[in-house]
Amino acid sequence: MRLFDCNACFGNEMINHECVNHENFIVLEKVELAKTAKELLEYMEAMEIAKSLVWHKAQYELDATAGNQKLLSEIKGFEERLKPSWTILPDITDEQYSPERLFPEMKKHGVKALRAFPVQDRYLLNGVTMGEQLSYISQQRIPLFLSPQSGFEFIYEVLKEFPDLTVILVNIGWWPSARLIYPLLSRYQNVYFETGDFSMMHGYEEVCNKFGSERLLFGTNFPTNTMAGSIYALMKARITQEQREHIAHENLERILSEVRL
Amino acid sequence: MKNWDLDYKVIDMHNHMGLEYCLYYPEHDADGMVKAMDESGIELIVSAPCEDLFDGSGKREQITDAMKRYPDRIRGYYSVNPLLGVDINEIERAFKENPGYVGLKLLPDYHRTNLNGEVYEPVFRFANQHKMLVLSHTWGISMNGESCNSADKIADILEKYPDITFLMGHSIQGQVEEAIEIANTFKGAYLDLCDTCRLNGVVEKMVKKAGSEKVIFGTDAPMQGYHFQMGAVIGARISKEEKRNILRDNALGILRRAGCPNC
Repeated sequence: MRLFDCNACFGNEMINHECVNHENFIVLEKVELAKTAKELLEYMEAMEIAKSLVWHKAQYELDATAGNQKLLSEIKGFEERLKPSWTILPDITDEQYSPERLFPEMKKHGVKALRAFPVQDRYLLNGVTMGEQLSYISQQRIPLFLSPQSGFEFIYEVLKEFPDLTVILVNIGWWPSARLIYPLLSRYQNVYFETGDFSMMHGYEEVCNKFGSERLLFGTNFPTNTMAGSIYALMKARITQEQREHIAHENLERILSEVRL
Repeated sequence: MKNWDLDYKVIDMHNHMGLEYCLYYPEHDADGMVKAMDESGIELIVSAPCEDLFDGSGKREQITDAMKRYPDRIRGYYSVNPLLGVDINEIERAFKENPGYVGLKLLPDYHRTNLNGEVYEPVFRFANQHKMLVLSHTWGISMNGESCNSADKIADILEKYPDITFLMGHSIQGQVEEAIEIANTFKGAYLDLCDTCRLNGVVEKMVKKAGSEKVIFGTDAPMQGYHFQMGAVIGARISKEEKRNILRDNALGILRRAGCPNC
């Protein structure tokens, strides 16, 4: 089973790592980090993960633009296995994120995925703030990675406005979120979720039966979570080998191959 | 290829049963639990059903029935809800009538009651007198932003009642360093991996600082499946023997000391 992790992060942190406990309360805990791209590759090696779609902690904690550049410089030489994903900001304040400037840059650097952290970066992810950007992301089929850690409402709202947006839900929370995720899978064909927090009893089987194995992407939510948990859960799920391969790497490969830049 | 196989069965010391806490999960009754255990290589669970923790009826039939139907697979915690009052005679009677009970389960955060508060005192006196096993939910942060079961309160209890075997459910998530210190200070204190094992590097840190003999495996099933958390231990950078201690041997030792029949 070849593994392509859709959600791994590296980089040092200035504070203890924020995790959510099973009631969604933020706790600060000292998780072990991969401070550099090389350290992340060592973790991947030990867990036999072939490739990862990665982001740098600075993209969240320091500044999107500085973090995006840091990501590119730190994965230099490792591009075969570490694929970059950038953080986006509203272009009304940060003009370099306007479609005419951002997307040629993404093409130039082989960036095929975006992440948005609207709470952290203090904006609303909607048409008023980012209409032209979101339309373009949707049309060009660029996957947008969103975490519901601070709530699902903004994800429901943005999909109501941009129903064709390709959204990958990551860091979905530890206790079962089926009542929040299943309606999105049912309504929007381009919504997927990562397995980095997915531990629901018989969850793989249920999602594959209800929505198809095309809707799950293998992810580790590293370094909040250990890589081993989601690998073992996928290995042991009572699904077909074909479904396992979809989740392990094929779905993400397909999504990235459909990006038009 | 990395070897993920185990040549032994696993024991889950932090388990529930039934529908809980307004969550959706597909399988949760005793039959469903045993089916999932068979699929996952789990030999034995120690369970505190949700209705015992959150329903005031006091029936406890789910666990007593399950223990009778699956005596080799399911053992129980007697859940104490201090909001309903504490009746030591009732606890004694329940243990006499149901040999599958192996310990007490406390949920201070959810019951909004301090672990070292007055209401729990008779429970701890009783547990200490009988050298009982107690599994308590522990977090460094509480439901209302305060802390009903933080490290200071746990240390306070263990100083007063040294003969209790105390499983720190979730290992005081948010205060794992303090949990490790407690495990090192008090002979009867153990680190429970339920939920907390998924945090990167935590299993390795516990084993390094407290020793694998002080770490036990729990899952919160059926709110969670077994595989994810088993994987977090099986994939940890610790020895085979240390993994076996965590996944099985420590639990067996604790259960035998708690008088578990046929453990």
